Amino acid sequence: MLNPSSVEFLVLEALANIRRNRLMALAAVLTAGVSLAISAGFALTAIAVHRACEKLPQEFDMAVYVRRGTPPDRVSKLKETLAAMPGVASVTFISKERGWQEFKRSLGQDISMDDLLYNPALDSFKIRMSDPRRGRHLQNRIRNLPEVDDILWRQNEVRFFTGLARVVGIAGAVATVVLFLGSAFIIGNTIRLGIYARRREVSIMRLVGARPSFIRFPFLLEGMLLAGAGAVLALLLIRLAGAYLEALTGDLQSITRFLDSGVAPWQLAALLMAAGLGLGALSSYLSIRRYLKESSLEAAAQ
Amino acid sequence: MRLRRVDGHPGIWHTDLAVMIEFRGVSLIYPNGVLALRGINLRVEKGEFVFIVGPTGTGKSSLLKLIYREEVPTEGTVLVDGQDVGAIPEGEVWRLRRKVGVVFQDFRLLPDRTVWENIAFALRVTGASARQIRRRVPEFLELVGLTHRCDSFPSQLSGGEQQRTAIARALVTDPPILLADEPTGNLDPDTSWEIMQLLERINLRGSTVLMSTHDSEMVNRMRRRVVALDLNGIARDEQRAYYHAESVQR
Repeated sequence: MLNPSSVEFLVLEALANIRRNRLMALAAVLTAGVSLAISAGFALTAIAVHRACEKLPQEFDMAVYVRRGTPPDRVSKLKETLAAMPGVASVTFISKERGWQEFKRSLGQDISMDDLLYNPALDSFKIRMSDPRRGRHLQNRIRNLPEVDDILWRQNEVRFFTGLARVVGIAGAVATVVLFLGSAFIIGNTIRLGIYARRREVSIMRLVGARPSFIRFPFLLEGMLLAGAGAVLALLLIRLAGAYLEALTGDLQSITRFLDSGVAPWQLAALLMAAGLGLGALSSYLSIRRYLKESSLEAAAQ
Repeated sequence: MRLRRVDGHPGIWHTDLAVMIEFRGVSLIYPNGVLALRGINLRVEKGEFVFIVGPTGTGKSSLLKLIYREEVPTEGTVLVDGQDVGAIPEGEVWRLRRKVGVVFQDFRLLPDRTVWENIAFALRVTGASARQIRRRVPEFLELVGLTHRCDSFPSQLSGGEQQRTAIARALVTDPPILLADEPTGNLDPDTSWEIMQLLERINLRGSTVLMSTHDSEMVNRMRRRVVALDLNGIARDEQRAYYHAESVQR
């Protein structure tokens, strides 16, 4: 449908639009860049926190204490039973001797318990759960085993972090969407101003019978160029912020180990670019469509 | 080709029966309640030249707007080249616009483009190739007599030259119909007459021309079909007529 000279004309028109509205274009790129950066930065933070909240409880192991006096063969049988349960990732046996040593070590040197006549500790199993959020379920199943004396795990902490992960996930998604729509609005507005500045051209185009898609195209291209440039800017801003954060945390493994969004740089770049182009196309499409619907040839010519 | 006697006008014959524009019981009421046109019935045949005359506010411009679908009739049907204009979906209006060239009293040229670019613009936005543009723009520059002014900007042109540019732009895409809404309203009498002659030449090339005007002298000089509007609709529709009905009895 389009011949080469039409394509050339449309591209040149879009570039001429941007040149004519240099300041507005710059403002649009900056606002798109900053709002995309904020929205993406927020999303990344939310993802990282969400992941951290899910990851932390992974390290909360469940301790299963074996009833005193259970014969060794029943103990090893119990280990097999536990390992076979759904939701159990791994089972480690901790003998009462080792348990006692660890307990004493955890108390430090202040209190001496060496004169106790017998070892008060119990044999136990350390269970790494595959999904701590389903720990309660697991606990209920284990409790019914006759050899089990007691079960200890950090169910309150797990509940807290699970809840936090959910809240951060939802809030992050909502805030990202809101910020994204905000950028769409700003870019759409810039395009509207561009359309307004070119209302004579648009009105002549309509008068002589240009197809609506032909009229829209330069504005779509303009919107995509502006928002695309904004996405590049956003990427730069995020990389800068990331570099700053890295310098700040340094070798603090305790923090960096958890604060990882798991989004690769190329994924971020691709996502931002896609979001930017989509944003530009969508907002300018809506603007020009609305304009063409609302305005008459007459009004545009004034 | 068949000869046909024009209704009620002995001695005038039409050689071509194709109806280009037809109004059937058309009324137009604007959203603000203003009644612009009432009960209009009108047939314009291919190749005709028609003056639309009448006092301000009798709907001359509105009548033209209904033809290029800037307005849609509140009542009745407008047919252009056999097509019901009011029924064209929004996305298809461009097809109609390519059949209808329009020029206005205020020229509506793009001020930051030269005469050449203003005329080429109509071709570019309707998807013409570079070759078509190089071929057709000079042709229409010559038709309107502006070849020597092709690199001028509208602000450097006289009113007449601006209107010629607008006419070339309206025609360069080859629409069979040319609508001229008071094209000489901003021009002095001599220039108006030049534009008039240009429009006549365009009509002789085969275009159907409808022109609204206030200029009684020009209408009287041309002696073409005159459709006179008043607040009740079409007051008079006569071939080879004058601006005022009483002039005929002179």
